[in-house]
Amino acid sequence: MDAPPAASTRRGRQRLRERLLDGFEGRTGLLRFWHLQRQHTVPAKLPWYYYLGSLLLLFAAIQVATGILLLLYYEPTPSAAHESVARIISEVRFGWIVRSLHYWSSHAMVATLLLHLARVFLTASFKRPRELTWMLGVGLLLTVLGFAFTGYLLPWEQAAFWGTTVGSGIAGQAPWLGPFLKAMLRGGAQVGGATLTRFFALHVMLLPAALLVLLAAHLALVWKHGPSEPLARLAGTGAARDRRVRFFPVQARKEAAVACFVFAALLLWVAWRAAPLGDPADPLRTPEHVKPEWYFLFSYQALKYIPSRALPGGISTFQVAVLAQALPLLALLLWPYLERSPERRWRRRRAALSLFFLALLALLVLTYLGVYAGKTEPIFGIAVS
Amino acid sequence: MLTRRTFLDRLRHWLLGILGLSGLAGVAGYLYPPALRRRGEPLLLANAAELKAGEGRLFDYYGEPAILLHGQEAPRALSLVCTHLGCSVRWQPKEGRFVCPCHRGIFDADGNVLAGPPPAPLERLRVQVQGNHLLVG
Repeated sequence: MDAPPAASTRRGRQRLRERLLDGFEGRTGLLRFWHLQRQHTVPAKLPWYYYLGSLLLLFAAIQVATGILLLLYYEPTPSAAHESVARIISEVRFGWIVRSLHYWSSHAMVATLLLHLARVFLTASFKRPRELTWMLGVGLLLTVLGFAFTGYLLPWEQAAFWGTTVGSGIAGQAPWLGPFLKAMLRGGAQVGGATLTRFFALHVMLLPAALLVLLAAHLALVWKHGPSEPLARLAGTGAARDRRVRFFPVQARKEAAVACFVFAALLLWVAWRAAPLGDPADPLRTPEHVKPEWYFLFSYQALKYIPSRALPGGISTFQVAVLAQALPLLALLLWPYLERSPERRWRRRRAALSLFFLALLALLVLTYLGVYAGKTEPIFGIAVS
Repeated sequence: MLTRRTFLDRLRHWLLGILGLSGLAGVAGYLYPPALRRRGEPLLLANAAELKAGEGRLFDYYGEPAILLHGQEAPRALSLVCTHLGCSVRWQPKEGRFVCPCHRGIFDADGNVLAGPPPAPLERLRVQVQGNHLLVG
């Protein structure tokens, strides 16, 4: 006896779906790949600070999406840049939200990246076999700072113009290669139209390409090695210590929930405080007390305390100080090879942790002084220059 | 003993290395701003010799702000780019000095450092008088 027409149609549809899926799988192998990824497990009950990495992915996605939307209206020339950003804010529908999201998310991204770096350091998650994951992470930090430095100039504001003048001036003070580096950044003797074109090209072409490559490699290694065991679990015993859960869907769902919460908080922040737009750049009017953005303030403030004296070889103490600022970065990059012991517990890492907290203290004090530099009233009785 | 195969392998590596470095040098040459390459060529300032003693005239020296000052003797030209971090210094004619508003660097009328963080004097540009015109650089 023949099957009823409805059942036959259902079977026909199922056969078609199977054939399509088989054809797709035969050509890509993606279904088998996906099936394998679903077996991936992570330690159960990861603490909150293990979610910072996925938050960085959220901020990166916001930056890409809002960046593409801004590109549709932004004009990268000195005469039109500031006006085009003002037009995005005032005339384009929802333009102020898009620009504010791009602006605040970039600050949040730098802050989260620094917190993520501190977390990985404090939990010693960079140790074998995750040395390369750490180094790629430091590369990502530099790329994000590159985004911040180049993006700062694009609205062609007065503060950004002179901040870039000083920033590229610092690069120009590096011994031997400095003047060449400065010329490459500025595209001329001074910050001007050529600088804007170069920074725009870096911001929307070169740095995204670098970010894509570094991020893909970083994530592949994170996936391969999994998150490091939280320190609290290392101290525990029994079944609770070894409990693991599947990443898909258990952990992925939790991370998505946190990302949704943070995105909602960011939207609220944007609604409360839209991104500011300062006066247009005026190359003929140098403002008093030029300062870079908060994440470069510590370096800028530290350089102020270096007296400039001539040294043998035609270089000055100031130039040596500029070069010396690259050393902590180099140490950060190579840290997994400087702290080689496999020990992860705090009481066995006293030297590394003391160094970390000393560096953090210096960073916070210098940033604080940088924020208040140029203010007339003294801080704790000390006049800050 | 160096075999023919090893020799050819080494030769290939050297040639590829030289080719790669030449390519990099080409890219660096492309990126280096042409305006800076021209810097040093004399720049003609028309009717500049008419400047009276104590007067100053701002001009653009290959993308950099510069000033021509006429003192008691011959005219002199100085770059207005602060030697500390590259901000533009301001000429204060009454005090006869240059002040950098960024970090309070102070220079005298000849560009020598009087106070503040600048590590070197303001760059002095060579001035040649040609009739009523001046050649700077």
